[in-house]
Amino acid sequence: MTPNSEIWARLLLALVFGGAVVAFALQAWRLYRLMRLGRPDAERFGVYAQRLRDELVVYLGQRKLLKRGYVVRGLGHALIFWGFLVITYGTADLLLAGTLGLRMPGVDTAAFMWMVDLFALAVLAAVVVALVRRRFFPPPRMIVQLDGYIILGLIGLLMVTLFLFEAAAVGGKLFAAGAPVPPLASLIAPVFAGPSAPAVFAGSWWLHVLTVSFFLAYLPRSKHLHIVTTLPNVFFRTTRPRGALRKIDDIEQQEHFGASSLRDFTWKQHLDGYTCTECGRCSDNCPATSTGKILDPKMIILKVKEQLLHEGDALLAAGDQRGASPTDETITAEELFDCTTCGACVEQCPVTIEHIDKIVDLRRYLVMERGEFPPQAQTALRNLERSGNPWGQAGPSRADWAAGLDVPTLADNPEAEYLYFVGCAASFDGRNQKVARALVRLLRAAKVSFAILGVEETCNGDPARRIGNEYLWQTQAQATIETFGRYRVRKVIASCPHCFNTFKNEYPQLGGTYEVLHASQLVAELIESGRLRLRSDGALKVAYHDPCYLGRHNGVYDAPRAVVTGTPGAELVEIAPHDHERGFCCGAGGGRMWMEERKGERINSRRMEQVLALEAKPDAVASGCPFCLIMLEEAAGTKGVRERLRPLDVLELAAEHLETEKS
Amino acid sequence: MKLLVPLKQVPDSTMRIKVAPDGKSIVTEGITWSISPYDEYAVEMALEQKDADPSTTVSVVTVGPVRAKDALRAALAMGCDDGTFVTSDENAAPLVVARALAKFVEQKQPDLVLCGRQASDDDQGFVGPALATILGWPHVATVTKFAPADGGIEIWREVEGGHEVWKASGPALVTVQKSDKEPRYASLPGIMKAKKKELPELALSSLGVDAAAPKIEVVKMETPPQRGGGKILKAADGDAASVAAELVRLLRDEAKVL
Amino acid sequence: MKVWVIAESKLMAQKASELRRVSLELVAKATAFGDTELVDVRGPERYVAAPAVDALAKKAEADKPDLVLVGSTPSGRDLAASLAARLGWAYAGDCVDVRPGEGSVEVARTMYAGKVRATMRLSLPAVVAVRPNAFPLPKTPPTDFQAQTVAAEMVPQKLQFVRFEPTKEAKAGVPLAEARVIVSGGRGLRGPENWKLVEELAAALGAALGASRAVTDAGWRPNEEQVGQTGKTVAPDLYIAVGISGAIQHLAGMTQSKTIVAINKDPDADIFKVADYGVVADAFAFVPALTAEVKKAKAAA
Repeated sequence: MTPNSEIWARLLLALVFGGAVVAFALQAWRLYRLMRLGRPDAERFGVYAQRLRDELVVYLGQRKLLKRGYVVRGLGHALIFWGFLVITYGTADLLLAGTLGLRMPGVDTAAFMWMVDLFALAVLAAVVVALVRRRFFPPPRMIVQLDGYIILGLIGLLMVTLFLFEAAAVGGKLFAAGAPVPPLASLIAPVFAGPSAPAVFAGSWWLHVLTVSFFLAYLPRSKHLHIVTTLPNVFFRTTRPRGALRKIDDIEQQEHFGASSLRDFTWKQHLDGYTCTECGRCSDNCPATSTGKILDPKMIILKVKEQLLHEGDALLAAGDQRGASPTDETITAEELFDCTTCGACVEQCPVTIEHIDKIVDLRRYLVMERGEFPPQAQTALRNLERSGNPWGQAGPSRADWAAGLDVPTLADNPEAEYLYFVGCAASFDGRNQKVARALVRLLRAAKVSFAILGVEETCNGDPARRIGNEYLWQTQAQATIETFGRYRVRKVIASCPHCFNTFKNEYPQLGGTYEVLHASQLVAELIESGRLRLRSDGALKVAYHDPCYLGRHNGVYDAPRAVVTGTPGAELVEIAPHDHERGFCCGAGGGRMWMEERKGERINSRRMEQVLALEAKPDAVASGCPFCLIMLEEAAGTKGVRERLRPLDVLELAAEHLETEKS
Repeated sequence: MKLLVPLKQVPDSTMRIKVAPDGKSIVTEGITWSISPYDEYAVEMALEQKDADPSTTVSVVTVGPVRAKDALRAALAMGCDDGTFVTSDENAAPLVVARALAKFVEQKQPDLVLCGRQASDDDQGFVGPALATILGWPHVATVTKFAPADGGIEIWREVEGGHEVWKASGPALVTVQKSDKEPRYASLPGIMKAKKKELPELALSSLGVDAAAPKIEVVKMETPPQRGGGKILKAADGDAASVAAELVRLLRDEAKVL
Repeated sequence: MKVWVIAESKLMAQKASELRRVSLELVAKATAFGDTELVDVRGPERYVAAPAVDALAKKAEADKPDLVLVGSTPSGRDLAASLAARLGWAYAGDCVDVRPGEGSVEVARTMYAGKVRATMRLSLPAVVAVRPNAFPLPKTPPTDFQAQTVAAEMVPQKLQFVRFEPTKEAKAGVPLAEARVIVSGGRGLRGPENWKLVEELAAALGAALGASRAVTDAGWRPNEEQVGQTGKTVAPDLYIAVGISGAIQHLAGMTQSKTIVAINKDPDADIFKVADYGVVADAFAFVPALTAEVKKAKAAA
């Protein structure tokens, strides 16, 4: 190559790649400006050590891709991703060398060349597998679009051209003698050893560079932008506890409530949209989607993003114009109220998208600003407002379940160590009253000092918050905090995970900080420490159903299981693969307890099928949540299996095995 | 169209009612008060007309003690335009209330007055028909729908087997059985706006109504035995017929529902 | 004491048989304590308050009865309240008993949506609307009373009858929401094929059919039959729950019923907590027996 033509080549490369960079930057700038239509979001900053750690684990480590049930597929992605990183390093070197004549450190070592070649081969293989899978065995929830083929094609082309120019360089002896050469490419180098080597090299090298440039320019309009946006999306992920919804500050001063416009989402919620890879793992694990409801969590994210891309420019130009809410446009109320807020989507999303927040923000708009939401949910909230519980039962009958048990109230015994917050379900629902009575027997047997609020107890507001009435939640929560304050409550036991969750994770937002235990945690500890003595009552196989607000939202997986395994004679059966973090919702979360479920298969029926399909043939299915119990009872009754598969609460299981009680 | 809904605040339907020690009144401590359900249907029916034709105004008025202001605010939060509070003591005579409302209606001159079928405290269902009678206005009972029609208002009255459709050519009064839709859920902006709204207050005495009314007094109140204190009959094998006969007797002679 | 009983006529005849019966019940009761006059208002075909009230008020001001009894049907209550307002007399509606005293009358009725039983004392003269079935129908028709007819003229006024719109008879049977008697079936009936059990009981009672959520969810019965928090909230005079365990979501929709009968073989079923009459029995044996007894009782009446 003459010096002159080399200068031209450098200029041409600078022009091509520079053009791609400019094209990328212009599009990225637009996306950034659209994203900033969203509100500021203070909770995205601080705790940087944790954010960096997340980055290493989730982004670089691909941890969330390698979740149970997705290991092989996840590994395929991880290979492409890691290969992409290594090869991008090589590409950077290529471009630097080709324009400025500079080299990246380490690229001419044998080790790096091994890495490049091995990864390139792996990537090529993964791309082929991915292409075949997409074409012939598409995963059910994945949106297969041209975009995916283009990207896979580009990656494949990059690998092919890489091997080609490497091989031509080796074949044409373009490497200095004795210097390390790309090991795998060398194997095919003899094919290119002829006089055509320089031409093949130049051709494939330019094709490679053009592909890289095109890739860069194309990226912002592709879902594959996630290779860039995942970086900030993981970094700025929320540090709120999973079970805590965002508080609306100064709610009485607000003009708008929830997502009344694209401007009401935070910028991070828009970044979520840019980051969605449309992989569909959220949909795959969504109890609503998988039982034939309209809701598909992925589509919520994508529809908001689509609207932003369509209307965002006009909103930017219009200055203070608010624009429509996504629920006025593409997202129906039915979709939003299909959600049980079980958190399976959030748990599974490889790029840490926060689906529930978006759904609840949209619900908040419908409920608080518009007053338009499912009538049964309206009834539940109206009941809650007027009678202090979503079932509209008379407040003074709240402590009827304890009749004859002589349970002290805090008014009787202000010195009690624990407040047992019974919750509406165990207070009013006949089936769950038995669970409350079981807990009382356990606490008595272990000589735990406790008291209840009695008729002073009222709903803590949780259903209102899930349904989208933040105002009602705040009102109820403040009243509850006041009552707790009056009795100087410090330790709270809840037998309901929904109560537990809101006390533990959400009450601190209003200044109510307590030591909160789910009853199963305390009981497990009492068994462990020997304060509770249980006896065997014959062998019993107990399947454990993870309540979402105990498991996924709070990571309490072990305590309720420990209650089962701590019960002599009881054998724990996992409802595999839908156990622990992959637990399948009973269908009653997110306010669904009080709504109709008419479309598709009933969620509790699906859950019961999963239990019935177990080879271990459990005798009982135990949970730690009143709503789960109601749903499991209903499904067991409808399927006519109650005689052989008894739904119960782990507290009942323990209480029935108390040494002091006859079987 | 100008609509007026007189409403009454009563113990919420989810409340458990306890009789006071005097045996003639109820314990009001701890009671959540709401708009009487049929009045709430009347509000909803009026607001549906306002949804259909935004030039409609919906006014509400109540006669009652200070706490009844909350009922007006609740109606305003649902979307009513204005509310007037007529102060009276706790147990104003129904006839006096009707007379006071009549004065107010004469001032306000609505095209249609919508009353709930009955207030779910005394369950009398007196004030609506009485108000129409005092005003000399035509009225229709157990109404489920109305709509503006050529030169008047068409009114659907629920009767066995269907609906009678009546047409009022001048101002009229209806007592509402049920609205097409369940009463709407108040939006938060609606609640906030209602909180700030002026509520004009009138003293019952300032309306210049005749305070004389026939004497109607409660001499005794009692709550039926608690649910669950019910009679349990056990039908072992073979005696189904005799238990069934006993149940029929109880339903006919004791519960008087057959 | 001079007592008027307002008879139903075409004026209020929506269901002639019931009204005739309530009139007879009232006349029989009234003759026990006063000089009774059966006043029959003849007038326009369709009930509207003003003409009847005008005619009755004029007559009442002349005749001065002490007590006017009206059957507490929807139209009867409306008429009674309007008449009391016109005359400025005391009024009580939906009464289940009437006991005349010195210068006053005591009535028994419920208040607070049936949650309270009250006795009220009204000064005389008074207008009282009395529920059908409050008094037994006499075995022999009463004769000890006068009868007179009052003509109500439908003067051209600002209210005109336009048309009648019959309810679409989409389905046989009584609609759930306004039924006075409801028979509901639950999971205890084991399957949709056993529904004729409750259907026959409902037919004997003239009742509407209801179902628990479990049953509608399982597809045994149509959704519109569901009674409960997520279905219909009902408050009939009589609610019979067959094979329903009494989950809270069901109870939330029916505890306002005046009388609740629960039939369940599990004596611990939660439904018994709200039942006025509980029958611990196997529905398959008991319900047919009950149906037979109901038929017997109806035939006797």
